[in-house]
Amino acid sequence: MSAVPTLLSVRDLGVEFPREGGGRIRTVEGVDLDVNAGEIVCLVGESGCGKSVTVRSLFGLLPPPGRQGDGSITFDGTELTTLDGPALRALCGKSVGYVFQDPMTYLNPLLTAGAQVAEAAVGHTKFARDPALTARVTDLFRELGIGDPQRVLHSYPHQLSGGMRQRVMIAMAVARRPRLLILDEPTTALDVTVQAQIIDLIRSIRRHTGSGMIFVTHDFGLVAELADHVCVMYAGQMVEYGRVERIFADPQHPYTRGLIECVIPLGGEAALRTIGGEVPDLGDPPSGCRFHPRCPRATERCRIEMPPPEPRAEGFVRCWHPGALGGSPATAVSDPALQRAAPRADQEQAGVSVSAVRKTFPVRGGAFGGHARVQAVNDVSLDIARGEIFALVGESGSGKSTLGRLVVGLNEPDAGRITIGGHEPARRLATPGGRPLAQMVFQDPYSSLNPRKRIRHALAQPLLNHRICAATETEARSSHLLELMGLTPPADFLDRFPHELSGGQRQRVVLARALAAEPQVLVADEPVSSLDMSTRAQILGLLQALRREMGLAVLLITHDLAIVSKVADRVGVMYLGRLFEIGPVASVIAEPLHPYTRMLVSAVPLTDPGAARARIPILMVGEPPSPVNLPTGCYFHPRCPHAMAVCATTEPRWREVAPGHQVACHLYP
Amino acid sequence: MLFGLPTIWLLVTVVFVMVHLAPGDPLTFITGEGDISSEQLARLRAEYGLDRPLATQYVLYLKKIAVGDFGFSYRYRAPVLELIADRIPATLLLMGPSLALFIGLGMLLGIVAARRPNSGIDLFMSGLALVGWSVPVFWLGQLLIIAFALKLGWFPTQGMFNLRAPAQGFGRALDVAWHLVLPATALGMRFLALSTRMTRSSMLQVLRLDYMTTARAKGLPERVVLARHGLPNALLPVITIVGMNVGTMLSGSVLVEVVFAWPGMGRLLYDGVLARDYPLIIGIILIVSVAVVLVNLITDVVYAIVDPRIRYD
Amino acid sequence: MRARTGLRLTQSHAATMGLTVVVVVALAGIVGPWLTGSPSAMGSRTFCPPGLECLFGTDDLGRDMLARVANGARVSLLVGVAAAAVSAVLGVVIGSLAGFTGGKIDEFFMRVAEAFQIVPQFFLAILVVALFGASLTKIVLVIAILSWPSTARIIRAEFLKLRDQDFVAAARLAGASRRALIFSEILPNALPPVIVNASLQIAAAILTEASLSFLGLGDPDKVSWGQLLYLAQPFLNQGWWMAVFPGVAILVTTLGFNLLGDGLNDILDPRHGAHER
Repeated sequence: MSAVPTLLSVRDLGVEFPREGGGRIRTVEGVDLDVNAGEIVCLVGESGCGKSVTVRSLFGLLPPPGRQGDGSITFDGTELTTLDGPALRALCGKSVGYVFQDPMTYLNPLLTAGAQVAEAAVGHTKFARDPALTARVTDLFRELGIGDPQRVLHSYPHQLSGGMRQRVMIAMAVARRPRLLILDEPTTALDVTVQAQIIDLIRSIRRHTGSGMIFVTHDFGLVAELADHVCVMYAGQMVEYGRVERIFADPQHPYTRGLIECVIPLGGEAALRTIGGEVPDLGDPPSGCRFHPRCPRATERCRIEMPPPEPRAEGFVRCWHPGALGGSPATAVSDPALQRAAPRADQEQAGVSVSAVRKTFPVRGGAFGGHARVQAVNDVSLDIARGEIFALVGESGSGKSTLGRLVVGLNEPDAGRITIGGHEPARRLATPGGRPLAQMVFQDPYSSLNPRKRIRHALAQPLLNHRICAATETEARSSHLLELMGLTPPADFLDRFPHELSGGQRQRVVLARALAAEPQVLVADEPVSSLDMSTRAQILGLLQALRREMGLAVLLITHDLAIVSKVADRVGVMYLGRLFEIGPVASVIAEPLHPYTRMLVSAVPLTDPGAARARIPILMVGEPPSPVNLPTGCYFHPRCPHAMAVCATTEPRWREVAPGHQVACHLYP
Repeated sequence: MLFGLPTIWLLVTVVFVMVHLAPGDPLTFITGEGDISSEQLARLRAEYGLDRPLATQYVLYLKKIAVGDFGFSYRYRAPVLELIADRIPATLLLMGPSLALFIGLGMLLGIVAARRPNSGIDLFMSGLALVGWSVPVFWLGQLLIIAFALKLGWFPTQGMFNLRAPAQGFGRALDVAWHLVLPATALGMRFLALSTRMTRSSMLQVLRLDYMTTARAKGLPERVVLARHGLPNALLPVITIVGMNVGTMLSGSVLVEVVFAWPGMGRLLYDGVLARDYPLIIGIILIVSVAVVLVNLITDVVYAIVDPRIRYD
Repeated sequence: MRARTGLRLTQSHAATMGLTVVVVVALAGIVGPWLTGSPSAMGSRTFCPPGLECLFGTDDLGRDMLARVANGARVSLLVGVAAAAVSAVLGVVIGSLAGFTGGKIDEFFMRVAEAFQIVPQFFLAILVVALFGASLTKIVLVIAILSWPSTARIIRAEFLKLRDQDFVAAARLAGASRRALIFSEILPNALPPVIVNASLQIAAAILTEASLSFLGLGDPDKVSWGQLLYLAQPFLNQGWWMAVFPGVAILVTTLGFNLLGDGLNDILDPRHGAHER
């Protein structure tokens, strides 16, 4: 047993919500974990598993009608369930700091950053007349890496960047030097490079303050980077808790094992794996052990009774059949249906040619009087061959989504040319009755299908409008497409509405619809970012198969380099509307040339705890520039650790440094 | 700020168009159905350019409005602007305190209702607000007169003051106040209802917002969370809504003044309508419209000042 | 997570209550006049107070108040529904065009809508009726013309929100024509708030018509509830029932439509569980 006193000890925690038809339902049950001072416990699970609800219920922050059920919570020696509302809240304010996911909505838009941090420190917002308080807040900002504390002090949340806002939230949380920090997905809404900065900050806070931390996330890579202990949750139940090395090396619960196998690492040859089935709805969970419908080890007992926590090597596991034997629920992704699809010998699949394309947008309203323009895409050229998956990587504001829309033809470039097989996509889309050359798969499966139309309509629309088949054949065609996407039996799906399907199923419908129009090119804009980890591989597998079987050229737009390394053939890196590096995936990821690419690669969390701790991150400096006021010379120079004098004045030229691998950077003249 | 000008211009033009589309000799819209000699008629015809092309008449019309000439009422033998100026104080006296009192009260009730949604108190207040919003204001006036003036005799039935009461000083003020109670209440019901409903719904929305959780996590007591973080954000949209409804409130005051024979601008309009005193009708409507547009502009400005998202952009 | 299936009217108490009231009033208006006798037959029993003999009382000319109120239902409901319908059609067409097209057309229409909204509608209505004379059709048109902006604004806001949604882009890629995009894809999604607003507008239209009639600007041939209140004004002392019953009728009807509108709004609010009434 460790000599360090346990800061927070949770046993059998449950949370109840009123059920739709009356009565209450325990959405969260059986959560056990321990947090020690100076250590980080990562609470990990897929979206909808109840992690947020759990950490909020600890200190009474659940919005009604939720209510904490039984269980015990011991914090610093005090049993929290015995405290009343005001006492709990006072304790929370004094000894606990919360950092939430989206700093835009979690900060009061009407108060300045300084006022809100002051409020966290002393309970009121008036810092202007109090020099001591002002100094205290400014010092705190500096400690947290905020370079211009005076400006931030008097700024309103909407005037700050995402990363800055999150630092302000962290400042609020640590203002009173709390014993416990609870961070609920604090980096999910941030860009990858900003996430790296914040993670570095959190590590430094742990080093310097000795607070205990609970870090909630769905990203196993972050778990490997940060955690000392890991608590895995599934569908509102805790399934396993233990030291991070042990969890990765020897997971006891089948779900943990499966999930770790589903994580897509950077590089590597392992096949894409997925766990069959869907994550259940917390409003109507399965009985007993909630993972039993998807578990290869499930027996009758698993269906009836939730297993109690069994101690395992300084941790717990809730499973009737724990251990290494018994198999993993994760299976390699196979695409049998597509292998049966006839290769398209009759139609010449074309590639995409993008040449010196520019696109600007007017800025709506604001102080610029509507005359300023945002340079979304600036002089981009690239080619995608048929049968190739080209990944376009960048963070928010990079212009990758805009370029995607240009390739598909939804927008027309202001300058330059895009051709697919010799025709221009925008022009083709504008011609009435013209079949589009490219189709698109969108990011958000919830908004890409018309909520008031049945799936049948979504598939029939392209078939009829583009005269791909006669009206009498649409049913057969649509069913065939659904089968290809693995949605069987298709008759089950045709008459449903989108809200009756899960995210993964919807995304497959969207793919089917895209294929219905028989495009030559497919543009996939963040196709799996909104999906659960255990189902992502299915969609990625489908993309791979499409490329192989149908010879489609695929433009994959994403910020996730791990996916790129697994699925794509070539990759291009964009920043502020410009391409900076382009080349074969293996080459770019193994040997990134451009400093920005290096930062992106460094920012991908590693999935091995040992390697993660050993690595020194390459962090970006400075703040993102305003897209209306672009830097001179090389766009990246204000934030580049290797910037030289020439970078501020001249745009870098393209050089081929390795076969097929090109970079535009003054480091390679 | 100059965005109000096109609206005012549009209004003024619409009135002009309507007057000229209406059946009958346009001259009657200038003179009303009063008693006028034929030389005066001829002179007026020339002055308003009624024999000239429409465009010229329009320009003359605009010119007159620009200098404040809203027409002349032959019935009262006075410029319309003067007549209105005479009566405005009474309308303001009726609307002002009623507005302030009942909107403030409505905000309080809305906050109380939002604190415990779907409780007995909430349902009662929301129900009251809904009834207040659905009841015809003039009928409410009639009911109040029947109940409190005729049957119970607590308040006077009509008018702003008693002819036998003192004409000056404190006694006068008291007399007017006594006459004010019933009409102000009838008018105020609508303000109360609007304000309660808006505040309640706004508070409910705000209470669920994420930054309220952050405030609670800081350890602040619920009272402070509501007052410092909830209220300011919740009351913001109420400002706009109230501003937008100034027009409806003015309409209400017309009806109340008629029911209670309150000598304000609304009553003047009604008399004008009865007597077919067109210059008076047109003039009042023009002035009221312009005033409402100005109030809306002020509301927009106030909102822009108060919300930092608009102030600093 | 899967969303809940479908919308049910019964999810909101307010909506059910409102709908019940509206249906009852509508029935009273349709069937009532046949059951109650003539509203204009004058009689010898003037100022008969409400009781077993004359249910709602009689007025200064001995006419039966119950019959008058029942007949008034027809007129008031007709005006309310017709005005709201015309306003809705106007508002939907203009709002859809403005919201979908954007640019100069949108700006132009919104300025016009703003102007109509800011202006005190009641005053303009008075002006129109005073200049052009009062008839039921004119009153309906005036109310409709003055109230289309609020519908247009709602539809436009919905269009602006929906226009940039992915499913619209997907429909374009699926070959949908411009017309199909507006009417088949976006409009069905944009309608729910309009329906809510329509209910509230019916209530407002009934009140406006009543107010106009009360000022003597109503259609003299059609006896609406507002007209009854106008006729009652000189006789508040002798016959309080002449004012009370028509007013209650107005109150109940407007209440019904407002409740229905509120209830529908609650159902449509994605977080309706929290403030279900």
